[in-house]
Amino acid sequence: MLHRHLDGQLRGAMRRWVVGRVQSDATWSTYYEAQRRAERTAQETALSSGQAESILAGLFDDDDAPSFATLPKSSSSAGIGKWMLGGAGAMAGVAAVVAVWVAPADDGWQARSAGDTLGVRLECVTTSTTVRAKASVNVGGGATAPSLACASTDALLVRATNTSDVAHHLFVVGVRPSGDAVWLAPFLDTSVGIAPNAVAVPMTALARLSAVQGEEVDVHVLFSTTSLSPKKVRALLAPAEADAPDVKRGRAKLNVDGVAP
Amino acid sequence: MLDGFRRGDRDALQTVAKSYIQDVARTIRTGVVVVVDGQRVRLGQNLPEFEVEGLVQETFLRAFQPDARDRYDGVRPFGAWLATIARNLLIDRGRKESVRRKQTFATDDVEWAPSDEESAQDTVEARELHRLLQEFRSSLDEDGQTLFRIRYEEGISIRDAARRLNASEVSIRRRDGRMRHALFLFLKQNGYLEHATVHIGQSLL
Repeated sequence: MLHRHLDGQLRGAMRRWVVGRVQSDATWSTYYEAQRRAERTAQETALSSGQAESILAGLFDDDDAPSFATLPKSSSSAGIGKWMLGGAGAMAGVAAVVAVWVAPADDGWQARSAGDTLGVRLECVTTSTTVRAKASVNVGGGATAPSLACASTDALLVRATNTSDVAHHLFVVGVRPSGDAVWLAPFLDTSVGIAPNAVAVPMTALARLSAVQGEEVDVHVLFSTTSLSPKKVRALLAPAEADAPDVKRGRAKLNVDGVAP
Repeated sequence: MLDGFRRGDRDALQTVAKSYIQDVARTIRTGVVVVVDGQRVRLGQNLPEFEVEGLVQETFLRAFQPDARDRYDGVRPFGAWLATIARNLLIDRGRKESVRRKQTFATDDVEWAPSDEESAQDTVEARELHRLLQEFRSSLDEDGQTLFRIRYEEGISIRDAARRLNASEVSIRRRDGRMRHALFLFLKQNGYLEHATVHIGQSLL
């Protein structure tokens, strides 16, 4: 039976029974571990074909495979669900909003034109459904950096807007008083693309603010028509690189557990 | 395809899962580096195979939820979006594990860090296992080597292997079982499993 499972042929209750037996038995676990590692090493893949078959069966073919139209929340997602964008608690708990608009021109600090906008909206999101009003600032461009007061228990949500007719890449990074960088969005290794005519598109992951408790963080919002890597972003934070021609930037002050602006 | 994905069409979701399943597994095996109390800690290293399989499945379960499908904007790379979900799962499990073990994995001190570094230990271990597999294969007779290539290296199912070798499924299954058992003993004799067994049930941290 185990060999049929290794082959990815078992479905439904039978597959789950085998998995349960193997996991509860140290010898069978070792055997399974050895077989799977040998398979994927020989196939030079991250998953062996048998593993992939088995996972796909669990997703689509089992008698109790989830219907994705009505999928219940997984029990193991409880700890992080409230921080995932779109969770009911997160969306109901927007505590403070500030908008940072970046001029479309290369000079980055001039007023934006009426119909061509690049920008982000920064939202402090609480973990509960309680709305805790703090501050709401909308800035129409220019050199003034808006301020946003958040609690260290909040998370920061970034929504991007690009009403120009070309796609842009976005990176939002904070600089702590110590000079260290804090990656705020995206929670990925490279910048995200924002399509033309996108309005308030949310980034997938929220940045926890507990790491910058009691600090005022200088938030840099970087838009570019080319991809931004962390290395490039670090370079852009250096004064000598601040006027890179393909980068448009905006700034905001983020107060965490500090005095409200 | 994107419309089908957003509607939750089974065919579209299946296509997505098949296309990205290896990428998601690779992301999980690479792990994610977090900074705890100023020290870099890699979550997800040397996970047991069952754990990896569970995390891959959970990643797709989350990505295929209706609200998650709605959230995907179709602009950013889909693989990167899935990778974010997979890494969040690793972090989530790392936190739970630290609570269980009463360790000071203080979430307040966690910062996100890039996780694209290769694990030297994983590389060495994979190389060692690869060498042992080649050694084992060389020890087999010609039929055995053919079966090894088909089953282990090409990942062909029993049914398709039987068709290709013009034999019955029952006979291929028996030969396959004997070969797997022989490989298990070979790995044990060569000390690989003594190392591997320490991973069974090992935590994420």
